[in-house]
Amino acid sequence: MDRSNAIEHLLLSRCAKYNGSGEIIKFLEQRYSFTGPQKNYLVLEPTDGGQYLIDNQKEEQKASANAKDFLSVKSKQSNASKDNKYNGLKTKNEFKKFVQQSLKLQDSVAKKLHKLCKKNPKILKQDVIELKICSGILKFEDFIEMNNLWKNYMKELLQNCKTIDVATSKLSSAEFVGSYFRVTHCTCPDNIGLEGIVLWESQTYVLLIIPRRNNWKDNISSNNNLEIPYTAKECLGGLRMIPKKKTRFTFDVEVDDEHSIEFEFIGDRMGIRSLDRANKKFKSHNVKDIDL
Amino acid sequence: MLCDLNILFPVTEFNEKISINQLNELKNTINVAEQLGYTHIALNFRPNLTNSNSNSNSNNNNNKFKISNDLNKINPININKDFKEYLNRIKIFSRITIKIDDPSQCQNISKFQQIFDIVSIEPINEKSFQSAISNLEIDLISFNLQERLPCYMKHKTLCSAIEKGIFFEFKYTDFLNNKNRAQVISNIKQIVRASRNRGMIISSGCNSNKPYQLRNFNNVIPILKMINIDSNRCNMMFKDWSLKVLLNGRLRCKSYKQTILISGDDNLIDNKLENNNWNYENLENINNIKQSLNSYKKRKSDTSLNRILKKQK
Repeated sequence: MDRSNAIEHLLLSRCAKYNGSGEIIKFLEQRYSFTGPQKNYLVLEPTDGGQYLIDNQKEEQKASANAKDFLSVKSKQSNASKDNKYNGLKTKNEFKKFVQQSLKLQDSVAKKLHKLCKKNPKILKQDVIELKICSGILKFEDFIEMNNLWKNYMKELLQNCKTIDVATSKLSSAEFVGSYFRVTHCTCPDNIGLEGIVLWESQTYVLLIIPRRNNWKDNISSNNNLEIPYTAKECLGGLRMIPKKKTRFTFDVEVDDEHSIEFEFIGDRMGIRSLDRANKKFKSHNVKDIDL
Repeated sequence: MLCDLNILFPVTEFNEKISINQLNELKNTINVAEQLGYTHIALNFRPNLTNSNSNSNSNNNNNKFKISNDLNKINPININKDFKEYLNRIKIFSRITIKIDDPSQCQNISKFQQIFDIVSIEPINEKSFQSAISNLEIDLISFNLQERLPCYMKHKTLCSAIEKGIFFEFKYTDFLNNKNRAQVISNIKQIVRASRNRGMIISSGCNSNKPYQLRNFNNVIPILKMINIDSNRCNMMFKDWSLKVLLNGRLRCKSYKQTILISGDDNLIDNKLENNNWNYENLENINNIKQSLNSYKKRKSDTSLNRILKKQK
């Protein structure tokens, strides 16, 4: 053995049993051999555990209780609605719920604002988002980054497009979440002129988030020195759910720093989920449902 | 918005250019149309395609029949160059009418679809009529009403065409001709009966050297009433349905299968921004100058998004 076993040698030298280092070396050589009288094993005796055991038991109890709760909830739901599309745990439904809640909140806050403005007409002149009641409303400014991402995506997509047919065919299978849409034609006159960033595009509707106070009324008032008062709903902004049917949207795609090209999105012909749209083969149809 | 989708273009060959005399005559006709209150007109180009059946003297025919691969050279109607002065007065579109007697001739039509605003077909026999309805992407079907129709008009075939969005065209100049007037009336009555009073448009079909053939909207209505078309439908034939034909054709040029279309001009059928200058030196190396994106470039408009971004800075 090449090992010097210096520490063990030192320890054993203190021991009264061994006289002289020769005996110790002999002993140590036997110690680490497989054939010697001594064997190198460690005996571990069981203990009662003490404090550690009590802690462990407590934790186990807690975990099992949690698991039981979880399982019972799960089993209740899964028993009642296995593969239910209305299941609250699904992301889609959670999103739906969130949209419905925020739309509801917007409506109630708009009503409150309308009442407040009768008492205090100046309230609509300021930025209403700073008021306490508007704290839960979604802000347009938070979603501008989405639009920047979409712009970059468009730049990549339309890099080498020189002709209309190539560009439009690419756009028809593109993603529109994040683009800045304007509603130009709609059967609902309230929707016409809305501008905003697309948050979600479903089979039948487009979800826009619109800015506060900044809409077509600004353009008119700046041109004609007219002041058109904003309604409480317009001052609030927030989410708008706009149906695709009988609606046309326009959006700009940047070409370079100063120029852009305008495209139009015909809602009647895009009544399909964005997921399926990527692989869809479109066909021309009768134009009787499209008005000029 | 009154439409007249058939003013004959004097040129009948693909490679021929319009002479100055012809151009002046055509401009006179357009002026008359403008005086009569029309807002949208289409110049109808009728190429002389010889029958593929008469292959006997093939050399000559093939040369005539060949259409150049460069799409920029096909269309003789040069709206941007020749009709500049009409830019804000009257909307001018290009249309092609192809006589077909054999369905195998239809391969060229896909080429024309990108180049002309309206593609129409004049079937000569029943077979070509059937194939035009079922297979081709066209906007209009017109017949030579002075002769017998190629076949008996069935409800089923005509209604399937109307369901697809293909319209049928009458020309009121056929009535002005003293020859075959009875034949024209019976033909129109047949189409009206078979199409169940839907899906028809009326146009002038006047020659560019005969501007006196043009009629006002109010002068044509009595003729149509004579054939038992009620006044609302007469109106629709001039206005709504003609615009539908234009819309169908324009959407084919401007959009991808009517989903996303290029915009920036006034409405869906406008061609204000489009590059229709076919003789333009092709600097951009684009196969079809009409599809060029460059003419649609515009300065960025001031949107509320930009305003908010400025404020943040």
